[in-house]
Amino acid sequence: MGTGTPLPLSFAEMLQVRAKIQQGFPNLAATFQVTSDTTPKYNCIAWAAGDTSRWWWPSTAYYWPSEAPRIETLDAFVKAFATLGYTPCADGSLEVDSEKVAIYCDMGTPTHMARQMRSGAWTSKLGRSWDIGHIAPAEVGGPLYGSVTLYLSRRRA
Amino acid sequence: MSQTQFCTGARTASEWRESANAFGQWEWQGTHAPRTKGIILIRPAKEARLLWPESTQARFGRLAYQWEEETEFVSSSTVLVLNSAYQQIIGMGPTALPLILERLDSKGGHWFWALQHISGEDPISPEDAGNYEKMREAWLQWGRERHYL
Repeated sequence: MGTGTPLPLSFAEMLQVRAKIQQGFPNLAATFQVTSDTTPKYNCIAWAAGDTSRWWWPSTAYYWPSEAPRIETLDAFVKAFATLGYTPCADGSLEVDSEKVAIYCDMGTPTHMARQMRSGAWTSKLGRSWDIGHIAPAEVGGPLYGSVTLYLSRRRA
Repeated sequence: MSQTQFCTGARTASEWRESANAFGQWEWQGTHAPRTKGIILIRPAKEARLLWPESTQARFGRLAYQWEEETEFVSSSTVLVLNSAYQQIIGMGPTALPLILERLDSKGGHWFWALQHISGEDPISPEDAGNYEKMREAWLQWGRERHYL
């Protein structure tokens, strides 16, 4: 689910990390899992795209697919993920042959993306901090990220 | 000199004391956390007093800590750089350059926008945009060449 690196945390430290995450994301169910250590190397957009080597954002300082406009709009994010074969779809339900991602917006501006795993659960990279697994996309919605505005899907390879 | 201080991120008395003391020149004198909500704690605690004028280094440390706490879960580079603490650090001007570079070296972080805007330079190759380690190393090398590090 995560980067595969074991978390170098004691049980007590893990409880602290979980409490901190829950403080930022009050809608998270208790079933969420912390699946990686913190890293500033990639963000949620990169994680949704399956890229752990770069920080994706449509500003000149960061990586953004050259075919997509470098503006913070939903359309620019859709175009960026179109370069990976994603197209808009109806919802985040599990479809065996499809990979899905969710785009979150706050007041119309993209803030976050999550990716559906084979199990149907979702994985999110929280800024420069941890990757987490969560059952429903809405669990990371709230004051920080707003809500899911659009789902994209592509045929699973 | 007696002046109330501003501190961020602290939610309990122990966190408040820890963050206040972390800046070296602050001393926690209270027994409970100020009654505040949210991530940004802007209400000064009457118990926390500035014992002597804040140095540039202490101010930078306080603002850097505030920025790191407030943007921990943020992916948007726009939100990262528009953060109030980050903007105040940019406002410190060239004085902040060695402090930012030292922080980038020791703790990491996305300090690239501040470095670029304070220095007026950008040592990062366009093909390295988004590659954190290469961006970080480019700026650290820039700092070493100018004897900031």
